[in-house]
Amino acid sequence: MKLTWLSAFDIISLSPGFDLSSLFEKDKSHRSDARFTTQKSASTIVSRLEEVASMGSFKVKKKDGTVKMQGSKEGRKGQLAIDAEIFEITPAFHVVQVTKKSGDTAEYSLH
Amino acid sequence: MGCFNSKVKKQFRGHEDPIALASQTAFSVSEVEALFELFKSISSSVIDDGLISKEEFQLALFKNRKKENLFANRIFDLFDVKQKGVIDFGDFVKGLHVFHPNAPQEEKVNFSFKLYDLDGTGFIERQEVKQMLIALLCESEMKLADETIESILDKTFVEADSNQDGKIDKSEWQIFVSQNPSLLKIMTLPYLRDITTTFPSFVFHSEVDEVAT
Repeated sequence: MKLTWLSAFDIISLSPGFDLSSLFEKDKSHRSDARFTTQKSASTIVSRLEEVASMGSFKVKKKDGTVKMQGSKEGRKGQLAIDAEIFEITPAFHVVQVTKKSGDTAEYSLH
Repeated sequence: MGCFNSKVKKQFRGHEDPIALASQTAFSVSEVEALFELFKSISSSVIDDGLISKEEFQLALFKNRKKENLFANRIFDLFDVKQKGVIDFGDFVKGLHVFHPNAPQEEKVNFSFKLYDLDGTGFIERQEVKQMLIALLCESEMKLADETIESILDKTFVEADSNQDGKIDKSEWQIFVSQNPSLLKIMTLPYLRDITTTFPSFVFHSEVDEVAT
């Protein structure tokens, strides 16, 4: 899978200090995106995501550094769709950005 | 322009006129009023003085008033145009305006340039980028070898610093950003479009309507 390369500025802009959206949110648990870093290789990350997806009966599509997961069950606000975009800082260091694309936030948080 | 309901005027006494602010920014008058609700809650959280201090800003951003962060400091400093160490309502609205989805691209590019130009020399020097990179790695508890950091800086400067003088000037930044539009993602807050629903304004302003903006 071809991954997105991060420049120094891309990495710097990951800081929560730049994320003014917290000013507007009273409750952080309703965020529709999350980010985490990992020392695992890209292929390990992808396999892990595929594992999680199959446990929750998600269909998985891989495209340009993003693992797209689509729920098959109709939730309260339609099907749950989650994107996990993988960025490479070094081959042993990745950042995964998870975003809810559609569906109910409460169902998304469970996953 | 004398159609201002006297009840509304009392609310905004001591602060910049919402109609004036709306005319200078991407916000409508009712959006400015909604921002006032947010401003009131942030500016009264530590000391109720109608101004946002650095501590109150940190509290609003991180839910922790003692949390120091290099990048939040940069934003605070850029909002604090008059360099008084506090952000007033006018500063708040004009600062957030740049983050509005409808704000001109040029303003976002300029703001982001100033953000990264830590010492305000008009250039983003390699040393400054290194400092910010290290700060980010520190706060995310990520460890990278110095050679890795240097190689990330090398790659970045090869792309961004076209005249290879070790620093990025405004025009180099403009070109770099146009080739890498994701760099401006932090400069837009989609939330600002729904501000009137997130912070319903309790000001009844039947005489001040959208036509005025």
